[in-house]
Amino acid sequence: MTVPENPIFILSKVFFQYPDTTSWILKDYSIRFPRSSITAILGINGSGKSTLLKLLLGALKPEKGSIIFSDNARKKHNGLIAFLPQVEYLAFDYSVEEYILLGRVPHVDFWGTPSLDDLSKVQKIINELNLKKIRNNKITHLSGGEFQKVRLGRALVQEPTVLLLDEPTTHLDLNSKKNILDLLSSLKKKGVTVILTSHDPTEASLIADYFVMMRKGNLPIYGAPEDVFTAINLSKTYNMKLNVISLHEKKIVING
Amino acid sequence: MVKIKNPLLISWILLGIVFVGSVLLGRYPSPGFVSPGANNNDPLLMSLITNLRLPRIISAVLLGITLSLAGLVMQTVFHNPLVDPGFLGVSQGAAFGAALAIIFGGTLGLLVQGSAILFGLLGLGLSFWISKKIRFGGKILKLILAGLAVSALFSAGVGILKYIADPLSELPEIVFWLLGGLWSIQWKDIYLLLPVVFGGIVFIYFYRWRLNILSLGEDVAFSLGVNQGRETTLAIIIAVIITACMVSISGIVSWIGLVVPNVARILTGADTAKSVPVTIALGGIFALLCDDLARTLLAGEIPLSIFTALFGAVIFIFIISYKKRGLE
Repeated sequence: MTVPENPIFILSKVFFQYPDTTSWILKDYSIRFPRSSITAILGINGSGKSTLLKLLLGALKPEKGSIIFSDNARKKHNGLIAFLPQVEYLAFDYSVEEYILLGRVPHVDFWGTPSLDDLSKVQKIINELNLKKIRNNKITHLSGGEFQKVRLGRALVQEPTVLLLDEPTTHLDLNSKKNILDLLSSLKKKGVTVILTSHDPTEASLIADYFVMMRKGNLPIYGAPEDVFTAINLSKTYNMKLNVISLHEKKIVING
Repeated sequence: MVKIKNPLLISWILLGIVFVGSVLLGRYPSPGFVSPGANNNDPLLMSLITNLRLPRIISAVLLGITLSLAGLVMQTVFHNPLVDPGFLGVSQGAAFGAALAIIFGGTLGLLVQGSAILFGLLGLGLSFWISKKIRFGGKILKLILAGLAVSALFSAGVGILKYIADPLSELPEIVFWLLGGLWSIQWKDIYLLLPVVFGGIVFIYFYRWRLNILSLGEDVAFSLGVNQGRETTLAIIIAVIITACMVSISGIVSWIGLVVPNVARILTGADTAKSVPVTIALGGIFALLCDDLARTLLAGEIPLSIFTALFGAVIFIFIISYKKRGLE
């Protein structure tokens, strides 16, 4: 099994459970997450995919063990890890521009308002993500695909080194999915580390360089696709008989 | 969004106009406006304006600013545009404190105000304490539930106090306090409260862009390097302290904190960096206009909340029907 050199996250013997529960969500996890690549976290509902993301983010603390985040580029850790939760409820109807601008919070003083530099960075992201036409639209008037892009924009304008995405392509149509996946691949080329959860192993295998398969209460399966993306491992992960077939150099996971 | 070019400039100019108009408006020498030049010839009018009208007008503007800003802060941190600054047990706590002082305190100078502030903050403290004891729900839901319960407790307490109050002397005073008003304001009240209230307003003004983050999800705020729990608590405490201070001299004044931030958001959009300055101006205008009516419409004083509730509710009905149209 290939072990990533110079990993961005190092988990050592991590245990985690939520308060008032009796079973471990993560039990003895020791994983190294590769830098500047795309890692896909797979697993059934309730296997702890979102929990793992929040542990990496630092919003949850492990009960035992340690999680080390190492960033070579900058010393200040503020805002280096961007996070997109699975669903995001907004009580107030921001415009696309206003909402993306909120990603600049780590770069603005406590008492301050965004500078011209912050605004121009927002414009840059808006151009890059092709959001120019909808920049003044209200968030509630966006389609699911547009909103997902806008949320990604907010995360990118933060200038993170790590992007944690909880099911970024769920509920999107095929075209929007492809847009998001292409975007993530291009981010990887710029050196951003992308870690996402997915319910679709076929789709995840299109872009992922590394897999973490979570099995509740058991040790995870992790490694490069050629090592771990197999019918046996996927069947173990999803508790059902699965097969992997190859088609035009792509791997497709099917029932049976 | 209603299309008004530069709502910030227009609302602040309007506040200036309403302020000057209010100084000239009164029932002396006759009901209506006096001309600006008339002041010099009439020493009584001059003294009336500087000793009675000005402190009252300034306190009305401060009251409007405070309640609207506190309302905006509370709506933002509770992710709910229908929240009122007094809802964490603060208004009912202050009412209970004031009624208690009116009945048992006698005529000691600042006792009613002090007691109102004390019990308003006690209401907030109780709400936080009880919210920590609730075993289910998120942080926001817990605080809302606890606030509801604490408000109900204090309002029952107010009911008991009204029942035992002397119906000839104490009861009218309690009722008047519960309906709010600025008739007793003097310069010394303003000097006393200004440092705290002004400090709170300045804090919120400079915090106005970052305030947005408190309306986002906790994990998103965390990823932006913001300790949302801590900043939310700080924002609530500042909003409540300035509210309690103003309510202690004005009594309960309803609807301003609910309606004004919603009007401001219609004009400026959701971004609190833009809505805070407009909320300040509109809050001042709204409270000042209502207080102008309260002091001049009849020979006797009319409770302030009668006007704030009347106009507030009318504006509120307009807003909700406007929003419906916006969705179609």
